[in-house]
Formats: sequence, structure tokens, C-alpha cells
Amino acid sequence: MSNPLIGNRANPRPTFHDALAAGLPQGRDDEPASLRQDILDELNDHLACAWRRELLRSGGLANELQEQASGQGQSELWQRVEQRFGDPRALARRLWFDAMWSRIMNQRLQVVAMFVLAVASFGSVALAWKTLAASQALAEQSQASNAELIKELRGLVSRLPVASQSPAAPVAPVEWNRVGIRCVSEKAGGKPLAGVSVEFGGNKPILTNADGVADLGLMHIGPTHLTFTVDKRLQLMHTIQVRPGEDFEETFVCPPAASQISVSMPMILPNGIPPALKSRIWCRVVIWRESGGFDSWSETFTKDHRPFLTVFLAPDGKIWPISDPKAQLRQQHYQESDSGQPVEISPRPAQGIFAKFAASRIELSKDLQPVDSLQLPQGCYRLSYLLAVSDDLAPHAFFILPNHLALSTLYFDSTNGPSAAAPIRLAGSHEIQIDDNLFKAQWPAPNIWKVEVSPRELENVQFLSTFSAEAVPMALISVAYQGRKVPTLTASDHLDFLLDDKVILSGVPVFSQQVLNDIPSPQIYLFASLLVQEVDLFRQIQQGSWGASVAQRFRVRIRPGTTEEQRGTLPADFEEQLKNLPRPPNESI
Amino acid sequence: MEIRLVSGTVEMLVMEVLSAGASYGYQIGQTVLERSQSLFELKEGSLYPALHKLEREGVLESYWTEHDGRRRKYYRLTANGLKDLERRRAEWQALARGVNGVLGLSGSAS
Repeated sequence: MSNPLIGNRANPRPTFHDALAAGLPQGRDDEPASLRQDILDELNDHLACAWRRELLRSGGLANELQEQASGQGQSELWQRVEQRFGDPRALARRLWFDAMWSRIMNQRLQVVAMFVLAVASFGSVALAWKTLAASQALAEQSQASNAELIKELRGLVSRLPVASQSPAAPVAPVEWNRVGIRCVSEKAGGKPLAGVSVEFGGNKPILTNADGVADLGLMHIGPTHLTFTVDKRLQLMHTIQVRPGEDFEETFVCPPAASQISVSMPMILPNGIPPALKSRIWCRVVIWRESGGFDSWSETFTKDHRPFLTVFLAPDGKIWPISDPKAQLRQQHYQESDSGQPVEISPRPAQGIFAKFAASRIELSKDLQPVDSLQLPQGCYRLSYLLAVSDDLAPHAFFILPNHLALSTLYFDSTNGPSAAAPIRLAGSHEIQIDDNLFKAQWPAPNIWKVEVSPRELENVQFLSTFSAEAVPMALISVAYQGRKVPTLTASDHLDFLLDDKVILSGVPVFSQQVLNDIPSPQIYLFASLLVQEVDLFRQIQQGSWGASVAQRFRVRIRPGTTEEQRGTLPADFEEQLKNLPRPPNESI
Repeated sequence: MEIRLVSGTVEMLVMEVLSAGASYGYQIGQTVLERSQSLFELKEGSLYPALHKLEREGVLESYWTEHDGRRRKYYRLTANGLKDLERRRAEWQALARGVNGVLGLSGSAS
């Protein structure tokens, strides 16, 4: 660095700004406005101080002007200052870079990032361009191939015989052939039968027209199962074979409708039965319409294709026809009003055993609608039945056939002799198998089905209460209080005892629900049927409907063929507990 | 004798000088020279970068005055700088004790 004072003799004080400024880099836009001047001023101050120090060392301020006049002396002083200070311009440059370092680096990083971004963008564009070019080349190649193929096909077509260029003649179906069904009544050559339903493969049934013909359309070769239904009373399941290249046509002879036969069903009881017991015996009979089997016409039992009918028989020969009790059971439920009655059944059967149902007013002999005979279509039937004895304590009955009991199965022929029009009639049987004993029913005349009850059978059923169950261990329980008549009803899959607004629940999965409406004492007798092996009962007294309870548990063991009595006693402080149960506002026991 | 200071020592010496009051670059260098009995002479090439670094770190703050027709930049310690100085003192004393212990000069360390 040359002497900064040379050429500046007019200024009595030394200044190093120009010399220092020469070491600074060129100005930047992001440079703080005062940075450059601050560095220069600070270093200038330092150099001025150092200059003054060297000046003092060389002879004092008195000689300053004289020394200044001497260029040789100034140079020596500056050399000493510079020797101690180092290069002031390099220091100024370093201070400037230190201050600007972060800004410079940020700018450089931005430049590098922009460069990388530009390169990436350029690469993407180049790649897209290359892909587009490849796609175009592939499309052009595909078009060329297609054009070549079309050209070859046209050449082939032009070489075909002229006849083949005329409209194609219909090709005779080989695998698919037309199927037509013709139905006539009663005999071959009989009158065409319109309205016969022909169903196959789950399709919508096709009805025969006025000519008795049903066009089933094209069917694939092989076997096809058809179901014919005439007037919803006769059914035939038949298999046809469709052969390759052959249309199928066949005429079916539909038998006439079976006559309606009046059938009575007296119950024949063994001698010696006490009159009081005889009046309580009931028989539930399920009448099954036998099918003629596959490929034979069979008569459906009812117009809605139900294959069975359930009736109740009374010892006096009265018959109560009801619909399927199991179906009823799934749908019906009983509701009791807040006041305790009347109890309603929903849905109420149009014609059933509960014509005027009220828990406390049921009387079988009045509420049921008995008939003397049944009107059944001519045919073969299979009967299953279950005997029961009604309970004086529960004056209405409801019977479910327990399949596991495997009681007798009776076959009756109600045709009044062979019918020429009826295709198949099974031979009847009137034997009754109960355990190891075979019993015979008596048939005084056709169409009178007599249910003969043996003493042994009656012995078995005498312990049946008014309720039966579908399977063990469903409990058959009647509830009484000190021999008094108790209105009961059936409904639920668990046992509920109602004492006014106090509910006694049983955890046993029983079929019966029995309602006790007016029991003055909490003491209850429980009777169980012979079907129950062992029953766990617990009584749970609930106050109202919000769930507070007092529970008591006891067990009942019952041997088949016997009945046992279990007397349950509520806790001594039962009444006290009831009073202490929480209850909603404005309600009292 | 030329003494090569341990890294960070310049900054500590500058802060120590400024703990007595505000000062400017030339005076700071002279103070260190006098206190060290002319043993430490802070080169301007290390003094000013250290001052500027400490200022950027918030250890020092500066202000300008007018003196003899020139602008003069004074530095002083900030509150954080004072805490930092205390930390550096403690570290230096620990270092000195350790070095003195190794050199068998424990008695003069404290």
C-alpha cells in the first residue's frame, strides 16, 4: 500500500479512506447502505490513531507539520504503521466479506437451486418429448400394420366365390333348439288346457295359451327340469331332453282336479277313562298331503301350496282347523296394557284358537270355532299327532308338535276307492307306534279318521300340562297359587311371571309365558312337565320397568314320566325389599 | 516473545477490556497490550474481525461518536455478553488450573 497521504498535503489530518476503499469489492444491491462507510471510518480511525502514535514516537506533535512537509518522513511513518497493522485493504475486504457472508451464500444457494431446477425441467421436457416421439412412431407403425392387414383381408374377400357374397342364409341351430309344450286335459287328445304354468330354471313361469301351448323358446341341448302347475292344485316335475338339431315338442295330459271330500276325525279313547279326564284330552293333528313323487302328478294341499294343515281334535269329535302353529308362533306376541288387561295377540289369526283372546276370559269351548268335518281334496295324507290333557288351572291350550317324540304317523286314504283320474294313491296305514308298542286305529268307514288313543299313550300324556314344548330342555310350566285358577298365556322364549306390576323372571329358555294377574301372596307353586330333565329357575322381582330387582334362585329336577313340585318361597323380607326398591316419581307400590 | 493465543482468547480479552466500559478498536488493542505488559499485541487483522463477529452474535453492541473530525466506533458489552464473559472466565480458570497442575504450577494458578 502506498503512502495514503501523498498528494494530500492540503489536509493537515491524515485520511486513509481512498486507500481502504480500493480494497473493498464492488458494491452490491443487497449491501447495507452504511456497511462500506462504517468499515472505512472504523479502520480509518484506527490508522489515524496508529499514525499519531508513530508520529509521537518519531519526535512529537511539534514536528508534525514539518514532518508532513517531508515526503520522506511520511513514508517512513506509514511504513511503520503498515508494518504493525498489516494490509488495511485486505482487512477492509475481510470485514466486508464477513458482514456479507450470509447474504452472498444465500444468493449462491438460490442460484444453484435455480440451476438444478432448470436442469430438472429441461430433463422432464426432453423425456416427455422423447416419449411423445416414441408414441407417434408406435402409432404410425400400428397404422401401417392395420393398413397392411386390411389390404390382405380385402384380397382374401375378393378371391371368395361370388355366392358367398350374397346375404347369409339362416344357419340351422345345433346346440339351441326350440321347445314347445302342449297340455291337454284328462286324456290324450283331450281339450287343450290353457293357463297351465310351466316353470324351468328359476325363470318366470310361462302359461299355456288357448291352444294349450307354451312356447319355451330356444333351449340348450341336454336335460331341462320343468315344473307344471294346474290351477295351483296339481303339480308335475318332469325332465325333458333337448337333442342337437331337433326341436322339442311334447303333449302332457293333466289329470282332473280331485274332488273335495268331507273328512271327520273322531277321537276314540280307551274305555274306563274318567269323564272328567276325557273332557280334557286334546289331540293336535298335522295333516300332510302326500306328493306323488318326481315325474308324477301330485295334488298340492292348498291353493297357496302349503303342504300341511294343522287341526285340533276334541274327544267329542269337534275339529278346530288352524294355520301353521309354528309360523304363528314366530309372528305372534302378546302385549299387556299398563292396567294388566286385556292381553292382546298380534297378529290375531282370522280363524284360530284365539278368536276372543283375553288372558282371564279364555274358554276353549267357546272361543275356538270348531267344525264337524274337514273339506280336503281327494288324495293321500300323512298325519302326525300329539295328545295333551288340558289343565283346569289353565283353560286354554296351545300345542306344538315335538318332532323328537316321534309319535305315531298315520296314513289315511280319503279317495273313496281308486280314482281312475288320480295317478297315484298310496296305500293307507293306520298303525300307531309308541315306544315299543304298536297300536292300531279303527276305521269304521272311509273318510272318517279315527285317532285311537291307547291307555299307555294316555298315561304318557297325562303329565302334560297345558303347554308343550318343541324340544328339551324347554320347560313346560304351569303356575298356580294355592290351587286357584290362574290365567296364563304362552308367547315368549323365556318365562315371565307377573305379579301386578312386579315381574318375576325365569332364566330358563322355556317356551311358555305365564301371567299371574292377581295373586295376593308371593308364594308360588311351580309344576313342570315330563319333558324337562332339569330346570334352573330363579325368580327375579322387578319393580316397574326400570330394572331394580330382588332375585332368588332355586332348582327343579324332573324325571321323565313324572311330575314334581317345587315350592318356592320368597325371602322373608320380600315385602320390605319391594318397598325399598327405587321407583320413578309419582309411583308407589 | 511472540505468544500465539489459544482460539477464542482474543474474543475473551476483548470482552474483558469492554467489561470495564465502552471502548474502540485501537484503544482495546492498547489496553490489552498494557495489561499484558506488552506480552499480547492484538493484531488488527484479528481484532476487528473478532469485534464484528461478537457484534453479530449479540455479545457486543456499538455506537458511533465524533472525535477530532473522524467517526469513531465504540463497543460495549450487552447483558448477554456479560453472562458470556462470566462463562468464559470460569472456563479459562478451569483450563489454567488444569494446565498449571500438569506443569506443577498449581500454587500460582489461582
